[in-house]
Amino acid sequence: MESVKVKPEETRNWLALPQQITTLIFQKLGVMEIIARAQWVCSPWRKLAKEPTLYRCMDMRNPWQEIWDINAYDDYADLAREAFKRCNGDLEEFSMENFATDELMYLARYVTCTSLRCLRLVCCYQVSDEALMKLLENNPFLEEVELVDCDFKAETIEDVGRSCPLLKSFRLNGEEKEGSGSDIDDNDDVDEEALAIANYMPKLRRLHLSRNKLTNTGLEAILNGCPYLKYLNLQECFNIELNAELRKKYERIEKLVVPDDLADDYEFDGAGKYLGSNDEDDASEVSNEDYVLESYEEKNKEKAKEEGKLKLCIDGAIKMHIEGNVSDATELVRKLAL
Amino acid sequence: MKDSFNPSIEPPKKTVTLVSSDGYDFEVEEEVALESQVIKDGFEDKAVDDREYLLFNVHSDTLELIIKYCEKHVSSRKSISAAAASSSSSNGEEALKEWDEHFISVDTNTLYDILMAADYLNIKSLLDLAIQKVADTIHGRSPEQIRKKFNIENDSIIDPWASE
Repeated sequence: MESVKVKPEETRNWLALPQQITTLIFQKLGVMEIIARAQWVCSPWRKLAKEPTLYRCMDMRNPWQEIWDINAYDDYADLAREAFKRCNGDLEEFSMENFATDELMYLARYVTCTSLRCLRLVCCYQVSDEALMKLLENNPFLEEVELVDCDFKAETIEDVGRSCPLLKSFRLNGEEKEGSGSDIDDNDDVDEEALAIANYMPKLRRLHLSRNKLTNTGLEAILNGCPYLKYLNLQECFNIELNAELRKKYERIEKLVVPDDLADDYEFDGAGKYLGSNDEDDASEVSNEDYVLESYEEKNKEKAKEEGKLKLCIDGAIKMHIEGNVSDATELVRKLAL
Repeated sequence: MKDSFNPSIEPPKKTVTLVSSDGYDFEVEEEVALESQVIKDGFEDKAVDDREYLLFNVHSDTLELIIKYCEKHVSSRKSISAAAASSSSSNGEEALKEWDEHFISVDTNTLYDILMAADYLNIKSLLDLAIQKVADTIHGRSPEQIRKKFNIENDSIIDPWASE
């Protein structure tokens, strides 16, 4: 056997790695890096880079974090076009940030033919409602849709629900604007999106709705319309007032991230598993600013049954973490509100 | 660690002998060896006095590292679950992650050997760690830099990066 004779000082032949390992490495690299760089290293890598399974998940978010010099491609759109060519109609996960255009959406529609399970658009202002709808119409098996900092109409949100009856996870984050939502000028449509969700997405398990203008009416409709909801994020939804009336309805939500104007009735102890944990380990994690409750949720499924300690996560303008017993925490909240 | 095999010494019950490709014996605790899925599969069927594994593909230098990794993970798992049981504070997982990071910060040759050994022995967490390390090493480098780093010959006919 060849490798027996390998002496530690000899250089290794990386091209002799089993193909499944190189494939795994390529998967970690992601489509942008494969197309822009890795495939130009040598012909075996170039051959491997044509493997359609590598393009099942196209995550093209955060392109500007790369130090690009995409010699072979004019722009990211070219790169996306190339990835579409290679996916062989088997694209399952598609995430774009910023540079998505209608043309790319139509291309995605053309290549996906019902394969898509997850679609994420971040800051994609150039994408029209129509283009999004055409893509969704073709993909009735979508289970996860994220529209973050995009500019779609409320009717489109309705259509999302209509086109994707299996939708389990939906994220709709409004744009970050000065004093967003705190004043209700046009009472008529602040709940429009919330009602669209409530009426057309009955199978939701997870809903991330930060910076939305919805009011209690919208929230109530969601709580009624989505009976399977387990996770609900309402960060910076300043028009909501979590009161005793609503409490009964959101008690069943396992993870609730509240807007940062913490209402008086914050002592919903036992309301959700998320209040129960007293694991110190998590304290350090939660204090992390960018912390999202997702991993927390997984880890604490069992631990969270313990009672006696209250853990609050105040997101939004004030990001901090409090741990202590219930009365301490409520007092702190009161102080913060002053 | 590198003791040559001595048949007169009976190994204690709960140990397994791993023999490297260059003929060195490593006696490790059973649970450490069982980190390898390949060893785990069919382990019970093997007679207790026959728990010796000849690892034709793993050099002693690499095997030493692999054992170090497995021992660390077995002991960390124990202390993490002990901490959880007594609900005392511990940053076990965080510390282990740091340890892993340090462990895998090796030259490309060693990384290659670890990768091959983890694949051969089917130690999933170690394979993941090594694969991530390779991806991190490639990440952000130009094709020419990648070639240099991994000692790959450029046989590409079409190379849009050639002007570099």
